[in-house]
Amino acid sequence: MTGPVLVGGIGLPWLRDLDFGTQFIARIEHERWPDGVLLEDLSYAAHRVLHRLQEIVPTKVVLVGAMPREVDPPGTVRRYTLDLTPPPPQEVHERLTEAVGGIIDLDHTLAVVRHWGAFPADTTVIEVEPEDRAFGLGFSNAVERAFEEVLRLVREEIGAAEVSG
Amino acid sequence: MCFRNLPIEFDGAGNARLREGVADPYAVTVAEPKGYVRPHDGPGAMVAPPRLRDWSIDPVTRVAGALAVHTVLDLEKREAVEAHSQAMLFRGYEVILKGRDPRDAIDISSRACGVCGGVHSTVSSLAIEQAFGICPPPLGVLVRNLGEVGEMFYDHPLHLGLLAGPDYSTSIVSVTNPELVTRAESTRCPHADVHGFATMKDLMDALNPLTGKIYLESLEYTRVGRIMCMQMYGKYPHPSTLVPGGVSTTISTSSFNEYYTQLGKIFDYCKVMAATWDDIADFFLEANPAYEQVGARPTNMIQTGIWDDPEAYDATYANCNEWGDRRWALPGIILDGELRTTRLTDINMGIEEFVEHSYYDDWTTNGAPRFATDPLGNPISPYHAWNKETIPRPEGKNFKEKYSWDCAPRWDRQVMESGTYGRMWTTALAARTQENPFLDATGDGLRITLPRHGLPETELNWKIPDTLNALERNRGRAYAMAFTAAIGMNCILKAFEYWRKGETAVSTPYKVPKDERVAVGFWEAGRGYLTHHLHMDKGKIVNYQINTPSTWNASPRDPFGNPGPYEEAIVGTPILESVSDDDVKGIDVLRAIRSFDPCMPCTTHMDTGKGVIVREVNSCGCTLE
Repeated sequence: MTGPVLVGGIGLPWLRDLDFGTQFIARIEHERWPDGVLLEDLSYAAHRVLHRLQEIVPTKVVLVGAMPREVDPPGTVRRYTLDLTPPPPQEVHERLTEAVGGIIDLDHTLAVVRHWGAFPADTTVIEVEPEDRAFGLGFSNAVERAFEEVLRLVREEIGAAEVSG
Repeated sequence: MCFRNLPIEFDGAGNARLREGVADPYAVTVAEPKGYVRPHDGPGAMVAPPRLRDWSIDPVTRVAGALAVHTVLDLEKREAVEAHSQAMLFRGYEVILKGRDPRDAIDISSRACGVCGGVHSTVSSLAIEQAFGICPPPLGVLVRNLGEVGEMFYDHPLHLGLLAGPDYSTSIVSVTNPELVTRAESTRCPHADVHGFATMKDLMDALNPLTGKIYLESLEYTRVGRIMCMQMYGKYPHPSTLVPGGVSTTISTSSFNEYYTQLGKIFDYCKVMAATWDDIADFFLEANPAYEQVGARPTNMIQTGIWDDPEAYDATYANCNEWGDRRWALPGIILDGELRTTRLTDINMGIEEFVEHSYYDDWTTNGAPRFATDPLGNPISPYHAWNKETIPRPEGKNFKEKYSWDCAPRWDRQVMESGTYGRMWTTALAARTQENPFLDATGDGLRITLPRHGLPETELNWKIPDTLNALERNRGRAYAMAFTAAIGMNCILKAFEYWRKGETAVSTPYKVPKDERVAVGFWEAGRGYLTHHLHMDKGKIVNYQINTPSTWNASPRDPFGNPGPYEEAIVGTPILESVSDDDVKGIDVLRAIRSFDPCMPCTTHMDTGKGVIVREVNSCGCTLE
């Protein structure tokens, strides 16, 4: 028996584009998905995500969120296969101490979960470059336009995965 | 006499009133902020100027949120002589909640804290059910208690294991005080039979970040705490099942059975952590008694109490002294080590919040206060939470003006600290607690009996310390886990009794009233004091004020010039590092700060004028508005 394919959204509630991960999952969770695909809001602290992954032991993970890298125009979609090499321990420690204080941050999650080896070899991150980071609901036009592209990439990732029943 | 500074007196029947003949009973005479005076003048000042070093930590790491501390170290005397504590972020929950359905406050205020959002949901539901005039059924009260026991087992392990623990680890002490590591190698642990570490060096190794056994186990135990919360709340963090009048969780026999299984795991961890922190505190104090002064401040504490007796709690303000007195952890005011009162009305009456040195406008200049008294006729100040308005004004650029987003709450105009150890302190001093076979308050401490699990049944005795300092805060927090587990055990046994009797209701129906209501929720967070003050009318929130333990602890100076608790605790802290001046890391100042378990809004910086966020995080923002 193999584990599920996990599509996880990481977002920051009420902060417009920064809540993309959470809202993405909320919008797509009622669509038809193959058996063995789990869609979850992972908008909680890194160590909590670690514990969740240790529980469900997924065969593939697709993480979706908005991250301001400020190297691409707003609305840019970036997909990358995660290099499972963890950051140095000091960095993991610093990120973990922020996480236990309640900070939700995609990079914290990537660091902490990699340190404890809880990501499967097949882990993909899909990021959107945000534009509007103010308090409120709804996305900027640039990020709203990126929604379908992110959905297409998620479907592509799931299609490429071997989904168990 | 309960109040020393506010002109409040009591008649023969115990009713409070303002003393007659006082023209302006809540007048504030602004004083120069108390602080270190650099000896620019005077004989010898220029001949031998003090070796002062400005030392700023921004942000302070290994605390929840954005805290900056600015200190002055006197390297001649080897101690901190000045401190300013800065909360770096405005959150605006009170502004967000205005005009909303009061029930929204449960979910929205939960986000004030990313560590323990359940406490905000709970205290919010307490305030709202008081306003609505409803009361949960007994099992609803117990489910809430059990959820909050679980939440403490998220908070305390992460603080002791991941945030404060590393300050006493080999990896840090070997840099600041290598001689202590040498001493630790040859010091046997008095409690080796409990925690399994033969020498103090072994124990300090176990505190090392990422690799130490205690660090890793503590991270794992936060998971157990969360599972306990989820058994009662269905979801954690930010449970959405806390409602006015109880909980909306579907509770079954297995909910309690599974909770009980997790609680059993906790017992052994509590025994180990109490033994661990006894050994750490005693080792440092024996190695150098000056550690007694690290983080020391007067024993002035304010607690609101937590964990209700289902047979006493009726949700009313009118009876809050009676049900408050039946809480497993008592509310109380401790001044100079003496228990002044345990009455919630006294605590509520004495609360004021000042903004002289905070980035807010004073609302009292906008006309007469909304309320001169509480609903029972007890006098309250124009600076009281029911009268407060949150008016952000980020102006003032120096420590004599405004320097923090935190307000300065005071009780009877005195500087008060709050903590998980504080609720043990009030309960111990009162020498009474709920009838509980696992817990006894002795007047000078607590006797806690933890049942057998992997380790044998163990009696733990926490003694009220002589000094409130960094090591005793941490030791107290370790014992607080045992205290909390004993209460959890008592509550789950009571829950089983109600379940067996068929009294399985956990919520009560209600309607949102349309007339004007005023209410307050009294509860405690992991770090202590927690209140939500609510004023509603026409079914909407008129005013909502959140006050948290770190609002008290992190406060800046008040209008009377007095520093807040962090500031008090830092000033006078000795620099005990055995390294040259240039290599001083300030670890003792950091130990002093972290011992409070600060809960600040996280590393976010917001320009409120333009709404520009430099870094986005969703965080624990307990301290602020």
